[in-house]
Amino acid sequence: MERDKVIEVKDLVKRFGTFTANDHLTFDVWRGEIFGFLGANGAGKTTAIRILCGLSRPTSGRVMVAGIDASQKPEEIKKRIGYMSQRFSLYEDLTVSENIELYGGIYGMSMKEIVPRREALLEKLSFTSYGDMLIRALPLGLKQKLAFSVAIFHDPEIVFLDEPTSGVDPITRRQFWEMIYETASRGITVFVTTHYMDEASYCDRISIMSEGRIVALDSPSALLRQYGTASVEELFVKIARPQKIRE
Amino acid sequence: MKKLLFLLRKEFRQIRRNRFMIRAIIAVPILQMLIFVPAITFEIKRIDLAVIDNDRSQASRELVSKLTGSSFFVVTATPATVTEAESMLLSGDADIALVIPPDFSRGLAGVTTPRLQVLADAVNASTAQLSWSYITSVIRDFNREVIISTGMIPANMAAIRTGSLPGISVSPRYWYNPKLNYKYYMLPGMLVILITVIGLMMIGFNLVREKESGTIEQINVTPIMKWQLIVSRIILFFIIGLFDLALGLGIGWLAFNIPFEGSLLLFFACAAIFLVAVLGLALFFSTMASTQQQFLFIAFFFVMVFILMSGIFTPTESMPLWAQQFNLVNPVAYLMRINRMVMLKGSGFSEIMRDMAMLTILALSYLSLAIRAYRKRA
Amino acid sequence: MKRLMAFVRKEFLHIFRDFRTLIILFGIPAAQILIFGYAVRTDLKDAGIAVLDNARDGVSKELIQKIEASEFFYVKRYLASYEEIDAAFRQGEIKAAIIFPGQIAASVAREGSATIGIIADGSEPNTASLVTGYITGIVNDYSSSLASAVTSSLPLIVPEVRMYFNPGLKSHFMFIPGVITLILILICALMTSVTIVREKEYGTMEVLLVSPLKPWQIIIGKVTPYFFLSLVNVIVILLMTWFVFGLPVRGSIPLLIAGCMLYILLGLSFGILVSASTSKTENAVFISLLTLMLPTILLSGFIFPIENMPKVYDYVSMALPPRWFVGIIRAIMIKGAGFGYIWKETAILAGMTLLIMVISARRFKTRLGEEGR
Repeated sequence: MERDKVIEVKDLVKRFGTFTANDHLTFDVWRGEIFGFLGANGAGKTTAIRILCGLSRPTSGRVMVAGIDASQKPEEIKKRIGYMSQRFSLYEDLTVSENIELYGGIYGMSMKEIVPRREALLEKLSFTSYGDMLIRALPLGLKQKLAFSVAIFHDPEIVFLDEPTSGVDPITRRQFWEMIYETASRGITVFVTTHYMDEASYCDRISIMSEGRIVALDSPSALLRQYGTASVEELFVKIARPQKIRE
Repeated sequence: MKKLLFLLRKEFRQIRRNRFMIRAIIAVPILQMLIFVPAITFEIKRIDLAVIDNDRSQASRELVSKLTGSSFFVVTATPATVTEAESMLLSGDADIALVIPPDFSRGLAGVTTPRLQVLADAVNASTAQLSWSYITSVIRDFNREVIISTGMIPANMAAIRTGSLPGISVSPRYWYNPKLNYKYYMLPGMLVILITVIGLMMIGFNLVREKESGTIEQINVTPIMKWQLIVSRIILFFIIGLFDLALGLGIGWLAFNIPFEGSLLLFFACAAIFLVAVLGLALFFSTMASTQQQFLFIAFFFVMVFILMSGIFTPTESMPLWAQQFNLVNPVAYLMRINRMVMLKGSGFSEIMRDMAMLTILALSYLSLAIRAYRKRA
Repeated sequence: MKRLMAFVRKEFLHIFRDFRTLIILFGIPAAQILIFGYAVRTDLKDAGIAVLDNARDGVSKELIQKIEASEFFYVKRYLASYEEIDAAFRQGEIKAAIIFPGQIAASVAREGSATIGIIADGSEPNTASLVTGYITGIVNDYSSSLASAVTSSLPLIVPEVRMYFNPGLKSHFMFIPGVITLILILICALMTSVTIVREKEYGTMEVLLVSPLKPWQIIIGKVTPYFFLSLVNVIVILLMTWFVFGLPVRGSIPLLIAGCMLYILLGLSFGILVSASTSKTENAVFISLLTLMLPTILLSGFIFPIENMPKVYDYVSMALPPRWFVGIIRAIMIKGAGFGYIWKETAILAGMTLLIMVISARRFKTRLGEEGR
């Protein structure tokens, strides 16, 4: 069965001078799935994500995100996606409510639309009492959850999560993944990078990058079978390490 | 447009919470106006004079008392020798030494040529020069009085009997500032420096801080347009700049009773154009820096050069050609001139039109330079 | 000690990797020397003037010729009436207007005297007094040449002047000691405070604190590069002033360097003090600029002589280091004075340095203690 492709990448190449960060990447992401994007540090994940988000242009190759060509109209893509990076990036000197309003407004929502949704969101996160607190005063776990909620506040087609749970305690991580599942069930595609291999196995499909190339791409269970490993962690160690080190 | 309002609201909320910034916005104009303006003056108030009187006559004493009769010469020492006087110049105990030779009064009586020697500490060239020209004029007056009192007047010169040596005299008058009050000169210039520093430094720090904290990356992946981002920043600091200008002007009025001859509207209009130029420059510098420290260094360098070259202390006309050409792209130089003309001389639109047009061109070029250099990407 | 050396080397590398830092280190001194040497001039050159000649006779023509022949003035406009003066001023075209009364030659011949009016633009007081001074001088010369036949028999005093230390009356003799002071403050206090505060902001200070380096070693490591860079800068400035302006150090060079070292120590200690008092870069910048740059420019007497200011400034400046340092530099460099002439200033400066060092050391210790926890 042909599924609805929300991201199509074909022969994506990105070079910085003589260094090739992405070497002919080809993969598709299906609508509504949780797509895990794995790879060792420096494998080229961040470069690829930046291209997918319209922050950087590909050197060559075809990149379609939400039906839009990333090398032609990166700004159009931005309207249809949400993004949350590993570096926490809500405004520390604004309150929870003010941050929500700001990002809602930037995505073209009016205050009339924002206010009820904001209240609902705070309710759901049991954040109601935090509405007027400065972000600066919140613990990291809450900040990350809030940042994720802000990233999908405008109902994007895809949300990109760049190591969203790094530095977060296991309980918050569990809650965070519940939020991810809930998001995917609403039909929002989740594109996530992580270094936690237990998280990788929660994904519908994962791809593993090494030295700028995709070396494996399938559902976690299929990959385990294919490589005969017991866990994703083992699998990752087996195939994601750079050539030089393996030899 | 609605998006712009959201961004603006964010900027205002942030500045309101930044207590240090708020304090700086209020305190900098007050301090700058009250401390700087009265201090900056080339007007000479006091010259320490050492007198070596080898003549010790009635005439030599009269000459010295004529010199000290003026407001700024004060006899602080009476060294015995020239070597001693030189050592005083060296230590800074005297600024000028007057050497009266032993035959001075005989010279005045017509026996020899009367001579006087002045030794000046010329490290500060303009003070030395002004003191020297003042001394010569006192000497000339003294000389004339002596000649008249001794009656050595050629019979054919009636004018000398009535009190002057034959010749042409000069009567100077000063318009727009009859008492040559330095504060009137410095205050318009200080206002320019004030808004340059406030505008450039504050907006720069604001922009670079977002880069450093990573929030700008989050903004970059949103569909917000480049111009909306830039305009929201500029508007906030534009308002702050004009507010500080008004504050500085108000202080000038209250504290120094500074005159304002021209049109307030024209004054603020020029300042507004200038602010756009300065904010554009700051934006451009901020694209070159990834940390506040780097921004500081770049901005400091240019602010310093712009201000020193602008004619704040000395007229741009006496600068060499390369400096005058540089000033064509120096927004500070234009506003420096405009402010003084509008405030002190009451120049109107038609008289400053050329400067205003140039300033507008600069503002537009710097702004577009900044917009071009600004990347909503990596 | 080895550890410390490695740390110092790392700090040097940090500084040299960033071209923007190098701008500050070498661009600013070079630019300031050039600007103060060539552009900011307190003397007059090519000032535009207007002439309202109601006489149009031999005397007025000759005088105009003499005024124009000087390098100070050029006649930008000949006016037809008194009313035009205001407009010319308001356009900012001229610095002064000279008004010759009607029949000036006749009145000189008949009465032996005449008066020329000068109206100068008082909105630029310094230029205005220079302009009137120079024009008066030209007129006086001309006038005495007219009267020489009469006055040659009179006992006219011949005053002569010797301009010490700066016979060419160059304004940069005044500025260069100020430039050195400014640069040293900039590098020592501003740059050290900013680099230390940055480490705090980034949390890298904590990494350093848990390392086996002792707090004082960290501070020494941070400031040592700036100590040497400041010295290099002083030398660069001295060489520039020598080769570009032909102004060598007249006094003892070791004495000058020693004086600079003392001031560098003071600046570095102050930088440490600032960095101990705040944890945000912008705040460090504002504090440094406000407490150091301002007094240096204003109260060191480097552009504006302190004697001319209201008395309060004189007293305040005595409590501030730049005043004493500029005095020392000026005395050694330009006047060629020996230690005997500057021991008082040096002692005051040394006392201030010691005081700031003690305060900043104590302050930093308690601060670091808190943050280390």
